[in-house]
Amino acid sequence: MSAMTRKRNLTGYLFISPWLIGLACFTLFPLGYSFGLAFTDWNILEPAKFVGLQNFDKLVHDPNVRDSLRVTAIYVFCSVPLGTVLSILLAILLNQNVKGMRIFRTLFYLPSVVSGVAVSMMWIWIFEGNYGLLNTVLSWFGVKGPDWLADSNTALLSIIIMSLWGVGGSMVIYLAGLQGVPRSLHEAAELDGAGPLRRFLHITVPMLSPTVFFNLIMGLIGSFQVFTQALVMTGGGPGNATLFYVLYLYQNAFQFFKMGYASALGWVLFVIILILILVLFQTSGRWVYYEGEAPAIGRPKPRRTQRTRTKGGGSHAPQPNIR
Amino acid sequence: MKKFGLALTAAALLVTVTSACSSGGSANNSPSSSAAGGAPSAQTDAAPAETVELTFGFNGGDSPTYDLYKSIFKEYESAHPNVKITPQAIAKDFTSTIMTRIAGGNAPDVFWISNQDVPSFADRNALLDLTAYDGKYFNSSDFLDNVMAGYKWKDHIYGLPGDAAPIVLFYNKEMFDKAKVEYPKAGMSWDELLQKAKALTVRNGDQIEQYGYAQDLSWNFWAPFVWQNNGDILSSDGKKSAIHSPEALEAFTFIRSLMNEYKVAPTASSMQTTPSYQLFQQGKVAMYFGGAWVASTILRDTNFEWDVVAPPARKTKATAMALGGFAVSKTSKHAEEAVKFLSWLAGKEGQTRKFNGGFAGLPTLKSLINTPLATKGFEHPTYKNIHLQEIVDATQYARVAPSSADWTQINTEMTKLLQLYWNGEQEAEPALASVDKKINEILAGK
Repeated sequence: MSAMTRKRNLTGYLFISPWLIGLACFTLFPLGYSFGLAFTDWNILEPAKFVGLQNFDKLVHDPNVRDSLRVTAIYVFCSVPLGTVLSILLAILLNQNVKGMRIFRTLFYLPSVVSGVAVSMMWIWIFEGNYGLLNTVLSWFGVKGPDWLADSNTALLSIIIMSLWGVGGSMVIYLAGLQGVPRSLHEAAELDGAGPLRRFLHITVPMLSPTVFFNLIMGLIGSFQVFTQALVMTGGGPGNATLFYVLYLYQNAFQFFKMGYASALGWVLFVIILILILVLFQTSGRWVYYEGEAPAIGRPKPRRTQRTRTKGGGSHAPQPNIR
Repeated sequence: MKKFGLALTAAALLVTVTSACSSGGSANNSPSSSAAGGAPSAQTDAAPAETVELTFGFNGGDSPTYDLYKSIFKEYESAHPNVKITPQAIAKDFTSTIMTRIAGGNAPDVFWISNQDVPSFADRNALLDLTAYDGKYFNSSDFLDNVMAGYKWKDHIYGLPGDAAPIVLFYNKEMFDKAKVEYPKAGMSWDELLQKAKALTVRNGDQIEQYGYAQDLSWNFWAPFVWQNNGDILSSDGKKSAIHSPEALEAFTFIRSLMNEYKVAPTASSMQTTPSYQLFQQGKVAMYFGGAWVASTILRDTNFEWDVVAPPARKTKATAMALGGFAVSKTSKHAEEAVKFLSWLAGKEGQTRKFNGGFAGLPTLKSLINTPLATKGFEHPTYKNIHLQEIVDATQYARVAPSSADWTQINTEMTKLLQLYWNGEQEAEPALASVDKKINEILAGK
């Protein structure tokens, strides 16, 4: 019996070994390597010199790090909420029963298929000061738009505006979330005389909260790592107005060849994101509602019972003979 | 709890992707050398030594230039039957690719290198010190001194320059004829430049239909003015910033006044979408201060006649130039043969073949710079009256990028900070003060 279990386990591990090997070689190893590098001075060509915490000391006193953290924080805390609201609104609009809805859904999703450098090049033209699309439209209303990307006061704002371009990706997830809201709940509420707004706030929003939570986490991680736009459109300028943290990390690693310092920057960002996500998870119990679970206060309890139940099921049930 | 762990892993994965590249970067070593492994034909030539295979790292992809290099290599091979040259085209991220390949012990023996990268490579101990071979396979005194300076680091030679291209002044002859303005002369004063630019700017109400002058704002386009005024970017020993000086201040003030005050040149923000060379090519600019290389590229097909003149001057004559050259990797297993080949390629033999083949650049050898071969690559198919000699003249006194191992970082930071000056948010004095502070911080290793 135990030999058989061992054999079965071995077969299992063999099946997942391609993934395990990939994880070990391409993720865990570089991860550990970069952690080690964070304590060295390494210019790629000469052997890495161990410098202890010097990189971190330098990082704390580096004005560019300070600026880049400020820029990144502003970007994250503006673009993530904005993107969330906009994509939920879009998802609701696209969840209506209108003829040709598939076409609308495709149209709104389309922009997020195109991304990266191509989009950045296009937005450079949209933001152009004299003939750009944005300022041309503004001029119809008698507003003289600024030199969006060339002005340090509007450069970051421009990139935040531009981030809404990719809203289609999360919109699709919200759309799926919306379609998962049971009609019966709406019908019951309607019978009780609840208006559309009330139904939205008390049925749709709570039922959608796990989707919001998921998108929030992904959005947060994603926007902390924004850098293509800045690299292509502004190079971090004017001044340090669009010096995103990861752009500065990239420059240190692949332009200035300061790999040790870049690794230290990477791990600091990891810790920052980790803390923010921990906070989000801690507070999630208060506002994320999972179907099939008792609401917030009684939450840990049903979870525990659920876990014991599955555990018990595993050990007591007769072993199904797969072969 | 399971979900929580997953999200953590996800966060960890995403953050470290960039750092992970550092160790995975050397994975793209091209296996092209395998094709050239066995070259049995060399044995029949009764060559004394066994066949040596040298790899050559070319900056770029498939192009006429690459073909030209390959045909030059063929000639070297037929003269040296024991050597086989295997070219490798590196089309993307040349500098970081070469660097990671050197780190991985898999660098090409000989490779193309810009003079701007020489200090940083040499300082990191990546290049073979060629000083000992001076006089044996090549003579450094055969090269123009100002050009040779670009391949030296701390008085040692780390490469040889193969071609040069200075920044010069191009002008649209038809616009000058139409406005009845005298053509610009070599070494004209800044004021003359301004007067001509004013006379050639055409306005329609608020709109500028034709600019008198245009230049781009990378360092090599503003540095000439600083140098012409006896200013500099770094101190001569490369250890401190020299940019916060009255001379540099005057130069920066002059350049911006053309854009923002007199409005005879396109502004920094409009250059983001349309670089100045494009405006000149489209016939919207009368004078363009740009690299000589445009003569053989975008200015080949213009629907107007143009000419070129050496840059303006003030206290002294000065301009910037870009260089292409070659170096030998420190890890090369055939150092002697590699240096021999490099010396031939960058020497008279190689340069004569290269410029005869129409390479767009100027030779770097004293013996070739004053021959008709010098400007062959710049010759225009139809306009025969272009004063290409002006490009040669400018090369004689052109200067190279400041010699510093941190030049890339200095340039990146400088460009970013100066944007605040070019767009008018900052005045020249505080802008240069902040650049000065930043450069000194970088040089001090902070």
